[in-house]
Amino acid sequence: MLARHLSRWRGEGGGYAALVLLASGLYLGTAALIPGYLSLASLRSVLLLASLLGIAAIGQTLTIVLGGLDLSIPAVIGFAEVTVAQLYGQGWPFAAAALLVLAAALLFGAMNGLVASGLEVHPLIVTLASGSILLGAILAVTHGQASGTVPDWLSATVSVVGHTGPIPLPGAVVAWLVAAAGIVILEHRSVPGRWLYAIGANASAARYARLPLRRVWMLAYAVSAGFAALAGMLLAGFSGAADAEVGAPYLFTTVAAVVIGGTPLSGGRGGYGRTVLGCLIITELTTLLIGLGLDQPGQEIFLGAMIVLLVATYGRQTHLGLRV
Amino acid sequence: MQRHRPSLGLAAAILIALLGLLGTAPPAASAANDREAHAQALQDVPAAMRSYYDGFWYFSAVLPDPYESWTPPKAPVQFCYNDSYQGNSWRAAALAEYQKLVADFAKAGLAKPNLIVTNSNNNIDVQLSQLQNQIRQGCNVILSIPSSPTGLCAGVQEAHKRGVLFVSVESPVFCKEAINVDFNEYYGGLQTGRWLAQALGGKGSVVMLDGVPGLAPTVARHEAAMSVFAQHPGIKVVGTVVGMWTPSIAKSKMLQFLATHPQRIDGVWNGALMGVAAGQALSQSGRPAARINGFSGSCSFLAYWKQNHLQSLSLSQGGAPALYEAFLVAARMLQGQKPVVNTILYPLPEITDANLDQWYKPSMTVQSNCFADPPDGRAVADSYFDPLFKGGAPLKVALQP
Repeated sequence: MLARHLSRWRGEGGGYAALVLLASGLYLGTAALIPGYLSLASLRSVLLLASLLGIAAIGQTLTIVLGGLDLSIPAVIGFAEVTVAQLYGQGWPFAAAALLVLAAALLFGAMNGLVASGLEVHPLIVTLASGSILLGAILAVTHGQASGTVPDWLSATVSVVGHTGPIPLPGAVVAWLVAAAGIVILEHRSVPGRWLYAIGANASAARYARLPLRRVWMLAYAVSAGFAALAGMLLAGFSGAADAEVGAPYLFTTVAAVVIGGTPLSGGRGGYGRTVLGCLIITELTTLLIGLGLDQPGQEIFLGAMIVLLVATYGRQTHLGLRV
Repeated sequence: MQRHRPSLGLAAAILIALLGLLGTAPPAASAANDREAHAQALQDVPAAMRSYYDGFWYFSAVLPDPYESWTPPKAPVQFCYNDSYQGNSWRAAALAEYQKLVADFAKAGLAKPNLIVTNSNNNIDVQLSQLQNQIRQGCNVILSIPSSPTGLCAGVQEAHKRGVLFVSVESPVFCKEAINVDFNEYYGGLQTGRWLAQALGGKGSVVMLDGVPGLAPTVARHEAAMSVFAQHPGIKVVGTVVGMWTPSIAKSKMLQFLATHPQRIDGVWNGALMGVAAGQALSQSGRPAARINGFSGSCSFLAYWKQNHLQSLSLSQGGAPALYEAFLVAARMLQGQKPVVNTILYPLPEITDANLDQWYKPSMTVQSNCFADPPDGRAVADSYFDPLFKGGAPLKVALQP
């Protein structure tokens, strides 16, 4: 029984327990190295930054499990950030602006899934192109002069000192944890969740089993864009400036969080629980590097090297579809 | 399952990490040490103006006027704009200013009414080919914001050969045939650094908040501010945060910096566009307010300054004044005036606690992404350039920004 439990924790793409140990070890190690790090303010800062990355990385995880990739996440983040600030600034009720942005994002994501699966074009090309179109459209509409404002409660949701009722954590962190629990349950306990893994493991077999491939692709990419839009709206409250390029850092970091979590890029394995730990590890690691005074190029090289190292150690198993 | 072979990847990772550590050494400032060559380059600049050329070597070259024997074209002149990006409000304001100035010139019969505009979307190869096309289209004066300091040189050389005046706007190029018009990045670092040192009473802990690492403006501004702080033994620079001139990144990095630096922060030297992010990160981390300077005169920072009753200083670096000053230089050259050197530098105007109300408008919010333009639309008085030109005739049209 214990052995079965342990084997589930060990997982396919690298030890879950090892990830938990790494995340907590990094936190405690940083605390040992840097006096004052072990404070509620520092913990909240790390959790807030991890939550923004985590919400943006939900879609990246699902599309990678499906055997794809979503490079349009930064563009959707930029679109949502600029549009929600601009519409609210023009007097729209926030709920209406947010719903419009969300609906547009879901439609955009579904189109990505439809084109990638229907035309059998690699999603890397499809999402890169669609993201470029979306960014271009924002610039065309705003003429680079995006402006606007956001409600104070949204800024409080992404403020380090924000509270969620009696919980001493900002709303973005609580929302992330709730969304993470929901996604993990849906991945493993819902029919579309299992289809995701089946298609990612072996698309041909899934087709022969008459699984609705196209609908699952559309659903996964729609969910991806939906959460990217949510991250964009939160960033509007966080950064205080309407900027179409605000999502740019999330191209590399969402993929990095998925890979560091141990979800292989070949699809069919892994899951969002791992990405949650990947987000925490990336945020803690960059915080540690900043704390140690490593400059920006040094940080990027270190993160890149870490990805190579992790892929080298646990990302090179044979793809599930090739195993007998 | 295949046997894992981590050794290769591990070796690669270690190699990359080692290379990274080697590469993170601070850039050698060999150019900055060549004082004699720099003094030599400035010999044609009037002595009274040389302080405005401080530290030019960090971001530009000062060379003889390449248009010394140039004969200006006859009116009406075809003006062209060789832009590298149009995706932000700064660039949009610069283009609008150029269109206005050309329209004014056209009304006076000095320019053709259509401004030929290209945008390369930050692709230097595309920008070069657009520049070459503009030369063939009959442009007489090309104002450009190059996306590389050297990538356009073949086109600039061709323009010079065909008698086309090429002027870079706030992005100096190292091509010897170009005229560069820019504010002095280094001088801006000195202005803001001096204010911060004075506001702190010459002592306290300071965080440097930098733009994109490795770019000439980032290095010039940073080094200038550091040279000021070095004169105050009581000021301790506790670290550098790379905010990439992007508020969301600056705020994230600042929060991470504060999480790992429990000591009191008295001042943040802001290398542009990140002052609000730094202030918000400090207050949300439960830290006392610190002195923070502005750099570019963004509406967002002015709103934050006004709403929080801060004491601060900002420079004003809007797109419209930048374009105006470059156009003014081109207009002088069209009248036969010769610049004493190829690179014309000017200091940026200062926004202070005393004159903030002349710059601030109630429509500005911390979310605004516009830039506050000088009350008269100029970075410096038109007469600032008088000592930097010789010969020629005065302008036929009184330019108005």
